[in-house]
Amino acid sequence: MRGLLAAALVLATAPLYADYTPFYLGLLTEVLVFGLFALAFDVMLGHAGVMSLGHSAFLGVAAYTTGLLLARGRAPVEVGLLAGAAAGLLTAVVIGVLVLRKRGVYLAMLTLALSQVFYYAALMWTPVTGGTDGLGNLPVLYLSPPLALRLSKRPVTRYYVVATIVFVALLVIRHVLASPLGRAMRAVKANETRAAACGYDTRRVKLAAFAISGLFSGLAGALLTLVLEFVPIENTHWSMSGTVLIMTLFGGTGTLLGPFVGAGVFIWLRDFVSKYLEYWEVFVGGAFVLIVLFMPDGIVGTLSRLRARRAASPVATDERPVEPGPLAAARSPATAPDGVLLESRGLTKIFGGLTAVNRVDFQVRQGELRSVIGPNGAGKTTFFNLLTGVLPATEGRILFKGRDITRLPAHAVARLGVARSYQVTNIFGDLSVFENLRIAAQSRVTQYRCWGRADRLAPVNRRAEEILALLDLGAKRHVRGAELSHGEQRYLEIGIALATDPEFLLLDEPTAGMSPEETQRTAAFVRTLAGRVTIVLVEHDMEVVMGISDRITVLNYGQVLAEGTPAEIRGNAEVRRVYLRD
Amino acid sequence: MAQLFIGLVNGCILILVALGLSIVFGLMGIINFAHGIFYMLGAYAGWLTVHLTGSFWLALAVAPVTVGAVGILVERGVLTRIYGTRNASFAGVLVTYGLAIMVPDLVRMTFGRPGKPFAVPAALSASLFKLGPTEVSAYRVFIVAVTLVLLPLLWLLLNKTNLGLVIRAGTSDNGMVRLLGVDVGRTWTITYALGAALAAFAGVITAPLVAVAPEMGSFVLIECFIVTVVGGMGSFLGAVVGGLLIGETLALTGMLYDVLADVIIYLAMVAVLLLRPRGLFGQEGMSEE
Amino acid sequence: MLRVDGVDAYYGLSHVLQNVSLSVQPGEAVALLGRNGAGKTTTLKTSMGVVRARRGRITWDGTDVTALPSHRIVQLGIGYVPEERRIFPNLSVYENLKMARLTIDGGRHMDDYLARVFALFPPLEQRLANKGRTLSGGEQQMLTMARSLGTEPRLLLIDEPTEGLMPAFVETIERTIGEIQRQGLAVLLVEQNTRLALSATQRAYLIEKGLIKHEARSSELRDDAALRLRYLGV
Repeated sequence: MRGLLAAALVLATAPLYADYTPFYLGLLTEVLVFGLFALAFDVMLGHAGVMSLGHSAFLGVAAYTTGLLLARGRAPVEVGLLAGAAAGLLTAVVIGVLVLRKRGVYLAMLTLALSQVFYYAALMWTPVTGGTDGLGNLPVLYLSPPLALRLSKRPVTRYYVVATIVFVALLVIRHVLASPLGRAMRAVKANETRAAACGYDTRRVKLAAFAISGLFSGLAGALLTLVLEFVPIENTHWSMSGTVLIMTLFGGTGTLLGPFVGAGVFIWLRDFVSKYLEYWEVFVGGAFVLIVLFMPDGIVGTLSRLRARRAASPVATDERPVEPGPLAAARSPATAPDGVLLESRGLTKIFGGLTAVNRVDFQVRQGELRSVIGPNGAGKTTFFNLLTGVLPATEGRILFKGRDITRLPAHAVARLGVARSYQVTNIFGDLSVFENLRIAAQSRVTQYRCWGRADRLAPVNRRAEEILALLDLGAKRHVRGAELSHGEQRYLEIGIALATDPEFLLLDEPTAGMSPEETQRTAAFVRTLAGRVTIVLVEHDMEVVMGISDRITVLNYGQVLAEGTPAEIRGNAEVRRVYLRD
Repeated sequence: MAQLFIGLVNGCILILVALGLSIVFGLMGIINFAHGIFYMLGAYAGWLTVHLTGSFWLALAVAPVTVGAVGILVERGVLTRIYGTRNASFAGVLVTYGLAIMVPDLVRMTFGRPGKPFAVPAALSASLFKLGPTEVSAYRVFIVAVTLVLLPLLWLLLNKTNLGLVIRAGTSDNGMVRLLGVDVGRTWTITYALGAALAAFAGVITAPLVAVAPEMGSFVLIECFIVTVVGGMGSFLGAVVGGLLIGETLALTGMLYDVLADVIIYLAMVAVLLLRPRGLFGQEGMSEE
Repeated sequence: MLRVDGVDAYYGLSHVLQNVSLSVQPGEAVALLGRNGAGKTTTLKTSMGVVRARRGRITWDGTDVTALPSHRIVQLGIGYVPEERRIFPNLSVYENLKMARLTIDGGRHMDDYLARVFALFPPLEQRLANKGRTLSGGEQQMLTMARSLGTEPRLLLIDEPTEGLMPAFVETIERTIGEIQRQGLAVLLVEQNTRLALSATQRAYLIEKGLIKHEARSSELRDDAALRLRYLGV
């Protein structure tokens, strides 16, 4: 907050001193525009975790749209700006829909290829865009009444218009990043599969990120046209996407100030260095290589990390600790037929030549604690992945409360009230302990709301506090997930699943890697949950299994070998033979 | 008709450059944005050799050797620092992109901004035959001939030598190669250098046909990406078929409207990435992530 | 001889091995038994440098190999037969075998080596030119063992050789382990098939949840049904 006020002050008084610094007013204006572009780019990279090499298309399409409206349409400046932003948004959504089927480098290359199609369209469509000559012939620009100020050839007025718009845009982006959607984006970046397992439609979340990124990239493109009073074709070329990537990494991803610092460094290098030395790109390229190798957090990112380490204080948030209350009362009576909550019929999964799960019929009643056991290769994890929608079934059906969920994707299954934990710890490592729980709980309330602070959602906070108290991790609420001890992480692992308020909980080897004491505690903990939530457990620790289960299902080679009470299973000779292969 | 032949010549160049890019990606998982730089450096190394000694044939040998050495420096000095780190594949893209910006400027500093003229060697400048209304120069035939000689040699390298064996094994499972006692790191260095040398060779033989300029790398790089995506990353056959396809497409549609040719190949890349990410001949499981 | 001393190892964020200590003497065959997830494969992988030990030491013939890269450890004389077999699918059987010989003699003298391979695994002779991906499960297991033996190890770590294979194959594995022992190799065997594991080895460790719980002569364990039940059974 203080930082923003300081920035506002600096910006407001800039015309007084700017010309005495390397950043004379015209250059500062340019830095602000590109800073906005870089910030918009970073919404996707630093916050949603998606690397796009196609942002030149958003910038370029917006720039041309604004240019055309101002030059040909004689539209007012404000309309031109809005249209440019909207054009950026639209382009981003179109590209986003196409590319989000892929991930990683393939997604990046797709964005590159698609943006180049826009470049060539601009190149070919000479009558409209001016081709290689660019789009010019803009009229003298004025702000509309009541301000009615002249912009063309008035660097001070132009600066204030740009600075105001950019500052407001910064505030809006800041607000969106703190909203439920913004937090959802962070969760997707931190651990996409877990976010999906908590109920987030990760593809939609990423598309929302595309939309926001496109909107503000478009605004930057529109502002650029305003500043240059010209639309050069070069800004639509993929090298502009590379430039914005460099700017963002110079400054530091994931920060608000970083993109502006990065834009400043880049533009300064270009402008200042090229005055004295003929060649400046060698410095940019060299600096970029060094930054990627030795300072991947960028200038701002590295500085804030150093400062945080020195201060060693918890991250400041607006959370007000809520008094932990008892966990919600036991669930209301089943709406499931005959009390059967989850059922599989003839469930089969074939991978190439291997039948991992073979016509499994399985029924769990409400409130039951069922363990699934079996020797190596029995198909237990595959079975879990089928039930939670992570893997599509080859044959058979899965019914939850009588409803067929066989074809549903993971996030949809989660939203119905099915949660799972993982054998290999799968938490949101970069998020704090509290945020791990809060974001999981949030999925029940809202995923895409982009206004309002996420940390003011009272019911969500309450649920997170409940689970935090239950896990006894209150003292570590601000610690990053990745920095917890193993046992604590295993607890958090279950906690995330609980935070989504599930009716049905699948726990995959919850005691994996735990010490004997921790194992006891966990087993007791799982047992206490049993009354409120239906639980299916995969475990190898036989003491735990025998100690807490109501019933046990034994799988072998993907088929159900036996099912019964612990005593029955223990006495089953077939089971013993299969386990020991004696 | 003559365009078909031009397309063949284009294709040969693309194959030579794309092969290095493709094999490096298949083995090391790195999308080498610096590949175009090696092409460009090869052309300059060739020009310098001709400038100093007058011998084109010497240039053909000097270019790949010197640029191969540069490749070793890049791999050992820069790339090894990112192996095994988090997000190594992205870091690879970023770092090689940084080099792709830095090096052309260094070249400009040394040789100046404008391009260098590179004449077709006298021995090959005659026109050999006519295809339709067009004269076909001996030099273009030379390019095709050289490629026809090189490709089987490269194929033999990949399939009949120990180095090729390690590359092919490592492309499917680098970890197991280590578990059989082989130092994978050394193979990576050699492979990267070979890719650079091959690109350099392509650069020097193309030099008489195109402008030798610091920017020449970026043009060919994008075309190479498209070739490797369409043909399949890590596949020898993919680079060959992809190179021919893209080369011919550029030539034939270039007849109509040269900008359209570029749009078509970009659209081809989009189509492949969306519908069949592994390309025509790529190995399964290398796509997605 | 291999010594693992107080080793802690992590798989991602999971603390899989806790203070694990074991040893294998020259020429002896040792079994590592336990249920799934107990840490058997991780123990082997940590010894091979595939997984880094966070604490503790691993010494081979007196040399500290804890921080060495995998390929160096193989060159020093420890071979590894992985659980997933990891045949190079696009290479022929011949080429798969040749890969193992590169650090020994560059693959120049394949004939002697092949003769030894065919003596142990006759079916491989007919499949020499076939690509790895066309082999059946059993043939792949034979290939991966022959290949790892090709690195001329003095100790062979074998991970779950009978997994996913027909019961008849168990006999082949038993015979092979016996044969290589006769040739003087030491073996550390991870195996879910308890009968095979105990009959093919002289000593056994029982591991549970990343902790070594028990060590005994294989013959003793063979006779102690209660103990087996406790650590391996239901």
